[in-house]
Amino acid sequence: MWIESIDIEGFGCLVNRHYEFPRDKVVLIVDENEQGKSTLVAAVLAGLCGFPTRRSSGNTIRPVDVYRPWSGGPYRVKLCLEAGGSRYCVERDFNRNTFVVRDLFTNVDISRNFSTDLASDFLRLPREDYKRIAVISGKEVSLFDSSPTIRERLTAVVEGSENSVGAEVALDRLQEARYRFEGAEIQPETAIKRIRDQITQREHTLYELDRKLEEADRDVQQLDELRRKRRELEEKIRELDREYELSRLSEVRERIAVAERDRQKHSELLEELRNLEQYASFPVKQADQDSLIRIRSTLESISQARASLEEAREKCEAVKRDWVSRVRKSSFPLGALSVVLLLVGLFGRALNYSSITTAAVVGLAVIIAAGAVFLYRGKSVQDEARVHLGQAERTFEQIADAAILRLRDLGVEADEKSDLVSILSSTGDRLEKHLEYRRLEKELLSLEERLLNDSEFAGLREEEKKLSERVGTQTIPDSCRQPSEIDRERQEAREESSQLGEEISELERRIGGVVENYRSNYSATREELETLRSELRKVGMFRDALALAGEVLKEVALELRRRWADVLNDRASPILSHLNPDYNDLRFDESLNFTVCHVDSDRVIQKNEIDSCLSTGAKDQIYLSVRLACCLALSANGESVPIILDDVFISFDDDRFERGFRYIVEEIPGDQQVIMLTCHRARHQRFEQEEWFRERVHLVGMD
Amino acid sequence: MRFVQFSDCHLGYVGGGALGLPDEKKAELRQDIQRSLEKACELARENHADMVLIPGDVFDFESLTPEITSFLVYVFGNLKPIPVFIAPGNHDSLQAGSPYSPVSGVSWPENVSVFMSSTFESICLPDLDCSVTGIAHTHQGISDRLLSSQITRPDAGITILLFHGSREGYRPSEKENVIPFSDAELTSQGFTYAAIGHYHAFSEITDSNGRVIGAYSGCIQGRGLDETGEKVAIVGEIGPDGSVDLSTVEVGQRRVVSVEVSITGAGSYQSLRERVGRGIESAGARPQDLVNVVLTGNISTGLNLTAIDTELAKLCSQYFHVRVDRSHVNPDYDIDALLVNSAAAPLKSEFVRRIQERKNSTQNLDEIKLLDYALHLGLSALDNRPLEPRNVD
Repeated sequence: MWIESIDIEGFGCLVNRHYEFPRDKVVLIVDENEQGKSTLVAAVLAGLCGFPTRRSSGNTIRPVDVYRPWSGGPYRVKLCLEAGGSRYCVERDFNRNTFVVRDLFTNVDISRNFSTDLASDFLRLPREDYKRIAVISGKEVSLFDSSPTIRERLTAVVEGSENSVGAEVALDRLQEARYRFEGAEIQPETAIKRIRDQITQREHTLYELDRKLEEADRDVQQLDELRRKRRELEEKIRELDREYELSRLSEVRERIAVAERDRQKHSELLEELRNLEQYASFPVKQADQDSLIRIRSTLESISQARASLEEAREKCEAVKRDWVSRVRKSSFPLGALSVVLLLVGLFGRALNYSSITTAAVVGLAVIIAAGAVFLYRGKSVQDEARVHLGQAERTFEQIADAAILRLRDLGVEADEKSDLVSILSSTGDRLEKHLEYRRLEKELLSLEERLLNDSEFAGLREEEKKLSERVGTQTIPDSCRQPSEIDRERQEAREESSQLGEEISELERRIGGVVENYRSNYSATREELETLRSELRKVGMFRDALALAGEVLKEVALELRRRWADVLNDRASPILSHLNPDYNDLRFDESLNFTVCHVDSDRVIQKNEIDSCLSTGAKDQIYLSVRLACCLALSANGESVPIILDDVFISFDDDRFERGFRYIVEEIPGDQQVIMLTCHRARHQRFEQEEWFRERVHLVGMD
Repeated sequence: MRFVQFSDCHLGYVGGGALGLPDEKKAELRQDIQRSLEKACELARENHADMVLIPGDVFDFESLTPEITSFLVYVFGNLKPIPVFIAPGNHDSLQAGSPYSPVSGVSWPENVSVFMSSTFESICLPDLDCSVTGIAHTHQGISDRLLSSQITRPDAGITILLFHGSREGYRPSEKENVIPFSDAELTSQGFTYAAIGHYHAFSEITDSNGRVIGAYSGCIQGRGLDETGEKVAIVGEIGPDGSVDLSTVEVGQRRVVSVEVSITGAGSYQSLRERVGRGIESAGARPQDLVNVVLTGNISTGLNLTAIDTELAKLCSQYFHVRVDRSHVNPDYDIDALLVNSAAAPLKSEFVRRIQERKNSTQNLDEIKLLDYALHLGLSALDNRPLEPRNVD
């Protein structure tokens, strides 16, 4: 492409200007500073590419307004150019925002075939890329003093990151990116680890809360069971209460009945005692009970002995009477039988019947013998009765002696001559009465021991009344258990119920605690977990996106540098040799690190020495070499890229300036358009008469 | 037979995390949910409903307070004599501490019937020639396919199935899969109507003939980003022929309104405010609503992303709550310009091109999202801008 001319109706400080850029000539525009050289460069750029539609970061003025003429009026440029064998006229009115491309031969408007950025269309270099590659300013070239390394500047050129950082810095930034978590800026991976740890912790907390709640479920079942048991037990206790009341009522009523009987008995005893009071101190006041018992025993013995004696006497008399009676009863038959036998014997003798006589004699003998036996036995029985009687009399006498002694002990006068029977009779009676008195007295005491007092009796009555009211119409069963037995059972049931109550309370406390703990912590923990999971997704995606961006950026940067390294290795070294013959063999590696050979010393300056060993001027020359190499490489691959050099040799000494200038004029091919602008008129004036200058340079002023 | 159906009240729980609700607004929203429930109950009285069907998640177990229990007892008690049937869901499931439990000591009004078994049970209403068959979730929720086998259906003119379950094919990813069922399985059960809870949006289920066989009423009050729009209770009518006619009545006190606003090209805060204002207005947000504004597009140079909240404060104060999501806003990169073919092949362009190539070669939305994220992080890194993480939910 060749920019043939530019007509400026109004652009910044330039008004109604026309500049020609003849073919095969290096256009050298020389004028003082502040005459509009940079504005002319901007006008060429605006004519070719238009203005960016977006303001750059930090700028408040739109790019199109930067060069709006201060005095108003037209804001227009017209550019004529040749590209691809065709010639075009490009008219831009920035006031009206119009853009027209005409075919210079036909004058036909062919704008529709183009975008507003003709550098992009013709050169495949969008405005910014064209500007970055082909518009070289001396100010940029000499910026190395303020730049960290030359390599970074070169990298910025080939990567197109003039207004941004290079790939390496960007990769470092992606690598070192931080994520804010819990107030700290940490690496995403660290944040992920921490968040995962916290998630695990929260999940564990939730798991534990759930597990405890499930366990509490079992407790609830147990609680349900215990409550059921307690209800049953309480029902049983109520039943026992009812049974107890009935039983107690029955008992109370019985006790009342007993008490009433006792009270009656008590009255009777008192009456009886009053009746026997005369015997209270008889026979002796101080006789103890044992003595009285013994005396009564003695008296009873005497009575018995006397009875035995009487019995023995009676028996003796009876035996005697029996004997007499038997004798009377048997004496007549035996006598009659003996007479008969005697008569028979006599008769037999008389008749001489000896057998009859013998039989009668034998009969008589038998009768006599039987009579003898009878008499003997009667005598024996009487003797036996007499012996028995004698013994009874002796026994009686012995006992009577003892009785007399006992009676004397009791203070009753008696001796052998006394009518013991009578004494005994009267004493025994009194003694019986006395003993009866004492028994009654004892019974009274015993009764009084259990006899309820009025208050107790009233209490029983009251209890009976209350129980009756409670029991109501219930019937007291015929056979019911003792209240004590019921109460014992009831007590056991109550104890069991109380124990169940404690277990229930304990379970309720436990369940309540678990549920309360669950409710206190679950929601908050779940929310924390959700937040953490969201945070994890966020940081995870951040990490992944950073990694992906880094991966792609690294890949792209590597390819880009590799490609540019090849280009620069081909083209930059020869240019450098022209600009500065002290150096040659400029070699770039894939990272755009480079080495350069110092000709005089034949020393290769290694990439790590570049910044320290090279002079600022040498760095400037390397930079310019690279810029020009880039332009030439792009031109070689397609449409020639017009190069605009704005005082690029500003920092070069005269010798290097001459070398540089002559390289541009003499070495760059004639079909490669170069437009140079400078304020150093004197530097160029000395070449104006040179043939190479006259042949190849088109010198113009800004006017 | 007329019924009112509502569920998923989640009394006591207000997440609001994603909406960024402050505590005082959460408290207010809790009260709103109670008011929504009261309104749903009022609906039953107004419509002379024969019954109220509540398929679960009346409250959130972990957020339950004695006050909420008392409120429920009071509100349901006020419905007498209208019977109320509750089939506990996975959030108000039967577990230790549940007020439904007989050991809880809570005395539910006699018109309230809570299904207490983890297998289906039926309650017959002879007067209505109707039966309600329901089930209760236990602690962690039932995940078995209970509808794959035949549920005993009482012999009644109208048979209603009441449960808290997950309709296959419609389950939001964050929802637990409880009692999963397919439409075919529900149809094969042969119940006249199934009142289902669990999902938070209203939806009808029809059989192959287009007859309504069940419905989710959705939640009664939106609380999160996924609960936008009207929240309703169902007023249903079951005809003698078994036909089901459903209508919905909004009971939610507030709506969650989500709106996307592109700020690309908004060159000033004034313009940005206007865009957001128009966006909210066009989404139909009312002053009492919760509004989620997702800013998208590119922020113009000169506008500060972090200053947007301050700039929108006055606008936001016109609504109950406005959450502005700035995380989808991209720096003002002219991606198209960067993609223009350049012989110089600058790094930035090549980077964008390579990312775009990757985006074009995949259909995976997550991958595309990640590539887009990487694109802007890479460009930010190259431009020395802060590398800001963005929200991904």
